[in-house]
Amino acid sequence: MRFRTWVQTAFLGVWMLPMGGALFNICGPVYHCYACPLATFACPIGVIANFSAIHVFPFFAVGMLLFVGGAVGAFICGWACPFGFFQDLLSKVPTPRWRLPAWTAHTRWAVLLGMVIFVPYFFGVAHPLFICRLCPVGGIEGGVPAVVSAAIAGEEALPWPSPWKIGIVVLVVSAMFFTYRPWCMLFCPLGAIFTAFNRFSAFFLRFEPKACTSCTACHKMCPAGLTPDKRANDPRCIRCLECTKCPTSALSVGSVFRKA
Amino acid sequence: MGSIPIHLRHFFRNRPGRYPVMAHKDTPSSSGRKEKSSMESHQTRQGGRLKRAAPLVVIAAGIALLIFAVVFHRLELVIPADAALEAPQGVFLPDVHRDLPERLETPSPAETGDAEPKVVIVTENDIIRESTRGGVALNEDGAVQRTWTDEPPEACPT
Repeated sequence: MRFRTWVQTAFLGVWMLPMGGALFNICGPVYHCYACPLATFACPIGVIANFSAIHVFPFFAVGMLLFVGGAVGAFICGWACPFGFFQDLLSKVPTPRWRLPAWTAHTRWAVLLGMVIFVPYFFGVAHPLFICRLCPVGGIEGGVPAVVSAAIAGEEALPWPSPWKIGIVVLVVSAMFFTYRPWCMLFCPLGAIFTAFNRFSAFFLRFEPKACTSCTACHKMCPAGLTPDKRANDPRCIRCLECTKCPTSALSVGSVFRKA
Repeated sequence: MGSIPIHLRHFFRNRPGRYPVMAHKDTPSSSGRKEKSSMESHQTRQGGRLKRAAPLVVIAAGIALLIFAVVFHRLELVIPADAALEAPQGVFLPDVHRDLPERLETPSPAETGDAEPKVVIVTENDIIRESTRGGVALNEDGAVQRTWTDEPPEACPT
C-alpha cells in the first residue's frame, strides 16, 4: 500500500472518533459531515452555511480555514480528507477515466458562494438549495448509516434522504468511476478554499526549471491531469505529490521555513 | 506502516531549499533556443521576503480569529420555553444522560409554567454545537434561537 494511503487511513482515526459529538463545538479542517455517527468534529462548510443563515460571522470556522490553509494549503485534501480518501479508493477501480477541463473547477466557487453563503443568508436553511440538503458527503456519511441503523433496529419508517439528495449521491458516486475525484474537482467548496491557498501556503510544491528535461512524466503521473511543470501550484492541485516522483527531481516539496 | 518513499525523503531532511516555484514560461535565450525561466526564481531575490511572509501572516490571522472566537465572541441564544435545558450529545447515538437523576430533577421551563423564553449568553463554539444539530435559526425578532428539543429535528437537512 502507498505511503499516502497509510496517512489517509491514519487520519480516519482522527476524524472518526466515536465521541458522541463531544467535540462538535470545534470545526475540523476536512469535509466530514457531523451527521456521521462517528464524526469527531463539526464540518466547517456546514458551520459556515448555518452561521450564514443566522447572519453571524463564523470566526472560528474561518480562523480554522485560514490557519490550516496558510500552513499546508491543499495538502489537507490529498492526505487527510476522508471523503477524498473515499474517492481515491474508488479511483482504483480499473474503469476508463476522463479528465475534466480546467474551467470546470470554477463551479466549486459557485457552490461556495451560492449554496454555502448566499442561499442560507437570504433564504435560510429551509431552502432546497441549502448546501446540507444536497451535499452528497452528508448523504453518504450521514444518510446511509442512518438508514442502515434504522433498518437494523427494525423501524418501519426509514429516514431516507430526499430524492434529490439520493440522486446526487448516485451521480457523484457513479462519476467517481469515470473521473478522478469528481466532487473535489467540480463541487467541493472546502477544496476551493484550500486550493486557493496553494500559492500562499507555508508548504508548497517547488519546481526547479533547470532540473526539468520536459519529459512530461509529471503530466502522466498527475491523477488530476494537471501540468505541474507549467503550474506547480495550480488551484486545482490537491497535493497528492505523485508528481514529486519526477525522475530528475525537478518537483519537490518546499517550505517558507527554509532559506533560499 | 510503510517507510517514507524516496521521493518524499528529501522533504524530511534539513536541506536548504528555494522559495516556491509556481509557474514558468518559455523565454528565448541569447542563442535563440527556448529555455525555461522561473517567475519564482526572480521573486526569490526581489519579492522573496514578502512572499515568504504571506503564509505566516495568513496563519497568524487564522490564529487570531480562533482566539477571538473562543475567548471573546459571545452571542445571545434564545431558548424556547418548551425546549429542554440540555440537548442530547449526539444525533444518532443514544443520549446516555437522559435518565440520570439530575436530568429528571431539572424540569423544563414548560413544566415549571415558565412560558417566557430564556435568553442566555453563549460562546461561538456553543452555537457551532447547536448548529450541528440543525438547532438554531433566526426568530421573528432577528435573534438566534435554539429550535432543538429532546428529539432530533425532523427537518434535519442531512
